[in-house]
Amino acid sequence: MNIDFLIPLLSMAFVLSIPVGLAAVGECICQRTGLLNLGVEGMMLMGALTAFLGAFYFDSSWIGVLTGVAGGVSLGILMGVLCISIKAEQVVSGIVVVLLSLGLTSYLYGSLFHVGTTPPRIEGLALLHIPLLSNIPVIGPILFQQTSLVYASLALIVLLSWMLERTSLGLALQAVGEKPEAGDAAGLSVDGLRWFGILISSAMAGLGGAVLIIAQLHLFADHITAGRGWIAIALVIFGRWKPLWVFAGALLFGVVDAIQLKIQVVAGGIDSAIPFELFQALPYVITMAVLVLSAMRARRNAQPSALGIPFIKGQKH
Amino acid sequence: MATHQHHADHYAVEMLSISKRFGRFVANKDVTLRVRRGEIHALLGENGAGKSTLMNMLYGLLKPDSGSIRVNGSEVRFDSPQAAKAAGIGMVHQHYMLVPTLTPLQNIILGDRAKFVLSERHLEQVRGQLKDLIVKYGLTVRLDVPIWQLSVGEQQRVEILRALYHQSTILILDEPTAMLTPKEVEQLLPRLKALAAEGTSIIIISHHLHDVLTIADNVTVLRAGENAGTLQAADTDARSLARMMVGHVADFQRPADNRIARATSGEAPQMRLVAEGLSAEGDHGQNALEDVSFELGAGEIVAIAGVSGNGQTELEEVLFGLRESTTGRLMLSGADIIRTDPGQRAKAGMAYIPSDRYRYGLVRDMAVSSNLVVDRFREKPFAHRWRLSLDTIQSHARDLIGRFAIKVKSPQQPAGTLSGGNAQRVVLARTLSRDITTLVAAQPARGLDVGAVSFVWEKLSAARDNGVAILLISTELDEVFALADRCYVIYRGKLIGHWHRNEFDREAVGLAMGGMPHANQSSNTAALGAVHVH
Repeated sequence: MNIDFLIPLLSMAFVLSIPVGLAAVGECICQRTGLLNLGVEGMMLMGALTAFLGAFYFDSSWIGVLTGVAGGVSLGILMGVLCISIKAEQVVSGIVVVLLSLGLTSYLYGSLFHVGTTPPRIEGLALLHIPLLSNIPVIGPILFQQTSLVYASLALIVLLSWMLERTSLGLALQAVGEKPEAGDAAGLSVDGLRWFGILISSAMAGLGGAVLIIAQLHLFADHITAGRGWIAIALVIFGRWKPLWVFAGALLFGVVDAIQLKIQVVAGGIDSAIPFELFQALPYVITMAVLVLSAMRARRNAQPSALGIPFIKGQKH
Repeated sequence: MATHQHHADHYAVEMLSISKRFGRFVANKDVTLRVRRGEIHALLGENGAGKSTLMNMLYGLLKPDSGSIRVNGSEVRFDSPQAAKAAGIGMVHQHYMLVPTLTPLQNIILGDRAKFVLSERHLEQVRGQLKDLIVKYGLTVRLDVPIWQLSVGEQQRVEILRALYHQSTILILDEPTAMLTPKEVEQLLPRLKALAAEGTSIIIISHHLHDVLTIADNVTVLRAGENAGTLQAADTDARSLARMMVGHVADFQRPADNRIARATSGEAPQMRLVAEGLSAEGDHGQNALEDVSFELGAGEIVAIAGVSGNGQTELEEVLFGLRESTTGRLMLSGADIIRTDPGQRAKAGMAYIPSDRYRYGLVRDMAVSSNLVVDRFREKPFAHRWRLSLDTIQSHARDLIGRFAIKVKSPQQPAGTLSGGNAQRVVLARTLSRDITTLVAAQPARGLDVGAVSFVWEKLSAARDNGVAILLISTELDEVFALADRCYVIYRGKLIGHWHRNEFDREAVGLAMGGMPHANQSSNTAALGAVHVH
């Protein structure tokens, strides 16, 4: 196999890993506060639609990014009200958010565009070549010839990981996910920190949806996120609740996704004898298989102890 | 006490005529408590006497209905623990308020908003301050090891260290000796004395009479929410304090020891439960049990003594099939049961009184009558094929409620609303009303008041006299010595000592609980082995 074939493949893998990576790292932060956000898929999908609308109507990718984040956060607020303010069951709340988003995005897109055979498209972003670094052989084209949105996403992931491990806020987030009553006794606001978690998670999911649309697909369709939000949740478990490991899982997803796209082309596209849906399923199957293998090998239980349990002040847990 | 002057400005804490009700229940009635600067004051009383309620009001967790609180001479109204902390009050809860995955250093700076970025320089500065306190008060703590890896005693020192770091001058300790080894208690008490000598006022909530008398300057006894008297520790003794606490002194007389009688008469005991080299991992993948072996014969009570957190939870779970073992065999009446599930073990004649009675012992939201049949509702006469016989379940419940003196409004009352003692009576009633050969009883009397404790002990003794083999896992030496025919000590997941009843010695067993088996151990074990090999 020659290297010229590998470089565009890995470059593409890197781009493909960003949307799911953003959602997964946001989900990781949220779960570390003890709140299980199962609504990621819905938030990502809403972010994808609102990003598309923003970019389409204002003719600006960056406004699309902002509206994408706002779309995710709007569902994050709903999730927060359900799970934090009124202490509703987190699993049910998350599924409600996903179902709501599936219906709402489909309805809104359908009623706004009355799509015919060619769906409306938006402009993509130009590639930004980082001086010097982009000239490094192999690594340069893969890592340093991407859109500015990819760089920004990457910086955000590193920043959040640092925040969780190296700041007093991060310590507080970890504490309320492990033992909220101890955090409460230390003067932390358990509900406030969980609000922070769900807002970060929903903003990151919305951003992930925006990147998917603006940096990759340039169009919207019903359920275009295709389960990436659920994969994000699986990656949190795979990454053992460590943001950088979670992102490593997203990179793996991206590599398999890029390979399957390549195989589809090689196999002859739509005319292939093998149904293309089989290839499309590949990243999900591989991610799940790796998740199962890593769970079987794990010795220490890394899940935040208070995950999924509503915190009610003064009540014994 | 250097001075007996009763000037208000000598008092660090004054709680005057405090009353507190919860609904119709009176938790505190007209209680007055005064603590001087540098004084160690013990707050003594039974479970439910109102000690914790009183201290929770001082710490800002509850507000009094009437009465006033003064700290260092000025009246205060705390509406949160943060307000109490700002006034220099620190509390060490019985169940430590530490985040298990974080280190002591991280736990201590938790909630401190002064620095957002936790730079190495900032952490090094805090570490330095903590090390100074560690040296000054002899509170040895490893600052950078996660809490879950520390012993209970070290965790307690983290709590005290945290209070000192936050410059508390008034320290409330809730049952500070309950979870410690005798050796750790011996180390803790002089440290507290040293703190008091530096001017810190210390209030100790306790029901351990001996510790209270060793360390406290003054003792206030609460009984049923009221102040039953404040005494100078030097002027009183354990017996009169106990009488003040309960109104009478309860004595448990252990029934005659038929196990020893049979052993000496040469009759071989029938082995019920034999563990060979059991090992298991804890929740964090650590080695929680290592190579545990013991034999338990029909009609004897064998105790596993030890300070909590040394593998007892894992042991009870492995024995009843709630946790997988990594190595070893477990024989029940001769058959290896290590791969069987709890249901199969129950069918084979094994029963279990779990230490966490609300988690594994009862279904909180279900009626007492249902809880009394959760292990047998699919069998006759409680069910016919798939249909429950509700009448039989009710009459069965009424029968057991009578026989075990369970205080309930009706058999339909949810089990979660019962007091600790009554909840345990439900567990006992269900467990002992079944035809069993072997019983694993973990902390059967934990948290119960004196009356309920002797009830539990009597029932266990009676079961043993009827031939049931009982493994008693207990952190209370009093309980072990009252009930057991033989005892082992568990320390860091290993069984490290072995005594026959006539060799029971508080000091030797206490030392073993702290990880130091006594020198003449081997002879005991050998002697016991001889009893078993027939």
